[in-house]
Amino acid sequence: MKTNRKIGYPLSFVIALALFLVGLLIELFSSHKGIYLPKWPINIIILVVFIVYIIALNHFWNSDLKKWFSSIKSTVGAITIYSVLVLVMGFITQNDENASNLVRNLGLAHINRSWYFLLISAYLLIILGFVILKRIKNIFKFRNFAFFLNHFGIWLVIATASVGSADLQRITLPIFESQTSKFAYENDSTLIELPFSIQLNDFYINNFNPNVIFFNHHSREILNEPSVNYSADSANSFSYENWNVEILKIIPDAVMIDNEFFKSDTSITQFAAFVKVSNNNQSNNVWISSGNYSAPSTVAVLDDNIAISLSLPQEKEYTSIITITNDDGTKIENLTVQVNNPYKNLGYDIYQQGFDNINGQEISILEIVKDPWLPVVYVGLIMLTIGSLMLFWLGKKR
Amino acid sequence: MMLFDFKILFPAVLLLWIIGALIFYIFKNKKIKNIGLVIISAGILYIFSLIVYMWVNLERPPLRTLGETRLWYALLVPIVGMVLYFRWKMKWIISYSVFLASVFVLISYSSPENFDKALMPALQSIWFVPHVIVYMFAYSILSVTMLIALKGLLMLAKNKFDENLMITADNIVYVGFAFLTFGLLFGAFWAKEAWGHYWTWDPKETWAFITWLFYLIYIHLRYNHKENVKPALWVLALAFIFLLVCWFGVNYLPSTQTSVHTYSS
Ligand code: HEM
Repeated sequence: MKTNRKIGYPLSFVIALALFLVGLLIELFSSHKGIYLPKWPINIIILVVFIVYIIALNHFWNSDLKKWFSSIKSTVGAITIYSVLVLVMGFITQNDENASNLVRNLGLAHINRSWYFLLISAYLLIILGFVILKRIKNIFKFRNFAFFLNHFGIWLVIATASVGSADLQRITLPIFESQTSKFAYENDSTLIELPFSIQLNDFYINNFNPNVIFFNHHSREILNEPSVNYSADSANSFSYENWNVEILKIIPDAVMIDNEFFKSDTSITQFAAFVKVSNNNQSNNVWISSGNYSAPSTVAVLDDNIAISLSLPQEKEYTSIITITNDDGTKIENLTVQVNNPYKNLGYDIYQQGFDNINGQEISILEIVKDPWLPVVYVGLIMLTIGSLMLFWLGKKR
Repeated sequence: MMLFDFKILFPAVLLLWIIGALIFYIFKNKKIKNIGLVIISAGILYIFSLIVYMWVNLERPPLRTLGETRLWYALLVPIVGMVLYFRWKMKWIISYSVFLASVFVLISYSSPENFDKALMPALQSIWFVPHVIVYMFAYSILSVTMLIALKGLLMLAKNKFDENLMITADNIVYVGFAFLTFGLLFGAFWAKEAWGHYWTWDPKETWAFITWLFYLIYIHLRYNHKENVKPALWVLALAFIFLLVCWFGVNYLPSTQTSVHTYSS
């Protein structure tokens, strides 16, 4: 490769850019909707053919150019162009309905599904494949093993996450209490029948206690910095200027009847606190509340300027209690599903995604995800984790 | 508690660091120099105890808002500086890391935040703490390479480049990059638990990936190719700018109005 020393880097960029331009041309003459890769089993066939192709090419092709393709020089050009595409993704809103025609036609609104991104990714994977095969002979040396974990790990992740994205199902399932559901819409369009039904037994929201707000009741300006110090926790007390506030009693789910608050089981409640407000000359016990979408907050006026109230509580967790009935009749009763705490059933993950409130009736929004390729992608991610740990340990070779 | 009032704490920390750094640089005697380092460490310890205090008081890890991560950065940067000093005897690293951490302390001093207990459900995960701390570590380590990049480019312009600078840069990048990789991967595992998928090309994810990719370019540019100094230094500087965009800038980019990852309001 001595003769190529000078042109090594320029060539690297020329090839990567040429591939990009070819992809851009195809993109211009395509549907402008982006590529949707074929589903199982076509995608696994494509993947296997791709792997066989790389191995065969590596085996039968013996030239200086092939050596160059498995070198740092080709790598730098390929990763750089790939990175620049990701960089553009960072600046231009992706999947934007309001994108201009120019942006759309160039594929810039769906870069990760564009022809040029596909071509550059495939090119990167071919180079990476060559590099791995070049170094695989001495894989049992510690450093080479780290190299293998990192490079084969990222190869697996990029290849299988792309090819597998076609088989990813993400289904939204809004469900009322005591309702049972077996069908749901994917992307608001295709109706999907699940191999099990879900019944929502109960749904509830727990909130953090809100903070007490001191404000000027003429200008409505907030006077204290609502923070942990003013949290409406039982027995908490604090002061602002000459006013002292002590929380006597809290009711997280309260309704107001005749200017007093009582605990309630309905779903339209608000957070209420019974507080003692005092200064040097006087002392009063009053109710304040945070309000909700149908009722204003309850305010207590302290003097000519200052009044107090409660901020809106922030959500701590929402919980769905569900019962699953599989098609074969097996029943799993009263499971808890929360954010960060999904439940696995028959290859589907059931998530608490959110909630909504329709006419005062609470509705739990579940998301059901099936990703058959996840285990392979995770093998790649874990290889990368261990590889990076080894890299950290080894440092750079001198 | 008075001891943890920011109005007292931050000036105290700054004072400790300035005195410590002055002692460290003015005196030639090794023992006296070490006294300077001890004084700087006292400032670090002060910040550490503040973080512990907040953790207990808020009943959640103080890692949610930008202001809270700033405190971690102010804690970790001088620690990383000390480690690098003892490992490679880089004297300038002490002043640099203390200066950088001070800037962050000053920002926190001049724009105090409201700290409340609320931690939205998505953040209540075993991945939350490792993910953010690993990132803060990576950021602290990699911020050092930014200065190396600037110093190197300056040296190149003056035609008196010292190859040792690149050796230091390479070592630091390897360590920082490993942490960056952990951060990215922990984030992916967490996203799967919280949002159903490990990767959604959300703007914050995309920018984290961009940052990672540019350090990856640096590593490959430098591998077995000593002659690539100039492009490597530029990539290093650029990568850190992307890192900052990922950390702070993402909240302001037009492409990120839909991000699920912005928690500070
Ligand atoms: C994305 C596609 C990638 C390509 C095309 C690529 C390509 C290469 C090439 C050609 C080499 C030189 C190897 C040799 O000549 O023997 C190399 C080395 C290296 N690569 Fe990559 N690489 C990629 C991704 C990664 C990733 C994800 C990591 C780390 C997580 C990584 C870390 C390294 C390291 C540390 C070396 C130095 C080898 C050593 O110290 O043993 N690379 N890479």
